Amino acid sequence: MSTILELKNVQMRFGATEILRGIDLSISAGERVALIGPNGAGKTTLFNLVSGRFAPSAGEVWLKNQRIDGKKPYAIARLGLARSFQATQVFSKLTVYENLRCSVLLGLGYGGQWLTSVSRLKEVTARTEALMEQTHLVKQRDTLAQALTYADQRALELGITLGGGADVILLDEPTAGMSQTETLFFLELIKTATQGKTLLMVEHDMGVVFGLADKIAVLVEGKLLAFDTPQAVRANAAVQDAYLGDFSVSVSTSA
Amino acid sequence: MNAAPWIAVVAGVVLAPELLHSTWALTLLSQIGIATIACLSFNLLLGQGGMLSFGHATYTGLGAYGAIHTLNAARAAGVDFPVSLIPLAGGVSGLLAATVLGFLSSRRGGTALAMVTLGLAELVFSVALMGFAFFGGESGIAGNRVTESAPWEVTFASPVEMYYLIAAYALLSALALYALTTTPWGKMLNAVRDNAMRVEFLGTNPQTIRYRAFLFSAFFAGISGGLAALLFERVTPDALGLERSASLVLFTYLGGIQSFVGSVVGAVLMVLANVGLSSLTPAWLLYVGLAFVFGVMFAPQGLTGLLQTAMAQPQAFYVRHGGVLLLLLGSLLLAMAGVAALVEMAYQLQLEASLGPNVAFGAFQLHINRWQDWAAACAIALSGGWFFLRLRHALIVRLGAKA
Repeated sequence: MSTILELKNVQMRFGATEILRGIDLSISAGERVALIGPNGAGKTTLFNLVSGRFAPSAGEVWLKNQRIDGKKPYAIARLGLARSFQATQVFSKLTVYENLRCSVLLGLGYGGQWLTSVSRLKEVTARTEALMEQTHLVKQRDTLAQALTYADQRALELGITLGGGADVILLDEPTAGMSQTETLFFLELIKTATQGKTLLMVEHDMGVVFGLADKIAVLVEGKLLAFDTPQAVRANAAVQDAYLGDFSVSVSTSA
Repeated sequence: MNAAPWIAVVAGVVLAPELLHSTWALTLLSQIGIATIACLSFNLLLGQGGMLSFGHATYTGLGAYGAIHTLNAARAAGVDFPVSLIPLAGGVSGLLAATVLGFLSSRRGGTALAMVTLGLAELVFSVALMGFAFFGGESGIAGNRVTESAPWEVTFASPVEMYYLIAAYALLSALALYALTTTPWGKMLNAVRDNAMRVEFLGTNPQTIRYRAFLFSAFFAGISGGLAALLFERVTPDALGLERSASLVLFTYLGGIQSFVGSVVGAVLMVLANVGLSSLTPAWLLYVGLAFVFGVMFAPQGLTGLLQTAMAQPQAFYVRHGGVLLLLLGSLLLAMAGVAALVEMAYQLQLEASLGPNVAFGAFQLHINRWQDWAAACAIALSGGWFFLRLRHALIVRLGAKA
């Protein structure tokens, strides 16, 4: 399989604090990768570097054979990379339908169009309807995003991320704060929605991680400790030592 | 799109001169039309795009100057330029100004944008005061809208002809601005208002969305200024002043920024205050300020939002809470009367030498040297205000308990 996203010796420093200390990571097209690690390991920072929120202090990031480190978020998004946020980022005063439509419009390159009414764009309407069904938000169609329940907001966040049609998806703790039932439901949703796409996902729920990921990347104190199949990571002595005393416990309880 | 309200508005606008014959009324209506375009163009920035610009008069003002200079230049060159197209010259002037000023303003959103627009407006105003040749100093630049060019014998010499020109521009501008809000770009402008960062991560630079809003907004603001230049046949640097910018912010907000209609309501209020209230009392600006503060505190959705909320309630709501609502309204009127009496007396106190000690206040004669009058006004203002706050609280508790 061909490499779609690659990090080469990526480092990130904020002042004297080193957050990432040289990450090498290569993700193949179509792979589902879970990024795990304790709080403060640098997972979200890594997301921010890949999606263009910050430029790395050193190192290179490559997406589809193009160097993207230092590029603006919108430029990276146009190359087909979409990310979700740990703290929900939706358009609070727009309805669910309008929220999803924004993402569809941008994905189809209609963002600056000002000569046709949006209701005339049949393709946009069709895609938005489909996205609404996919994320199970049909009933909330005309609800303002700020009035949604937490779980529905997370579904909307996911829908907005997927709506642009990107083929590299970064999800930052999509199931955080959800109940067990909601998590299971969400897991299925992510699975079907990212079929055939490349997925990089920060996740704490080990049930989700082992249920979804082809590979697991373990990040500890700014270093990549392991990057392998779930079985190999579970067996990895270094991972168990450094990070997961209760790793096996939480796996067995949630499995 | 629901066409019925538009048709009703067009019919009203066309028939208005049949009902109101006086020049004064026509000028008032003309001013409302001009203010409507200005407020709607401002609403594109504030209501649709969440951009609080403190310098919108820069665009209406430069539009006015562009228009009057075009008018004068055409006359001087002997060119047969149709007067009905002069407002478009104003629009283009506003647009040109926004290519630079709007670019600088739209780099960032939020507070930074507000500060930049304020600074640029002040800058343009200072330039206008210094640039005598172009801006004409205190007396401004005068023009004459009656030219040799008179297609179909329309010279715009009469107020009715001028009114219809303004009405046509106002309707077309409203339609165009409304249409813009329904386009993909218009939807993205709403998205940028709600969460610019999210838009950036979806593949569009929010700056370009905001910049385009400035260009459109300035174009229509310029048309509004161009029409004002034609109506008054004179443009002074005041047209670029901060007072004018603040007035646009205040009245668009008072009308209600969430809706399109709100801007129209704001425009009507603006003209009524400028023309009506100012002829009634020298303290009119103070009242406008008080109304704005009151609006921000108690009705942030604006007058239109308030009416919409009121109309959305079922009849049972009014059966149940009608008494409290009436008392609430009564106490508000009482407080307003008390405050107004105090303000009028205070103004009279300052101007006593020229105006004498008596203040005509509705049916009452107030006397600024009588302490009883002051005490009564104070008591009415305070008790009205107190009752208003208590009743409002009681109503909120009752509604909260029900829900």
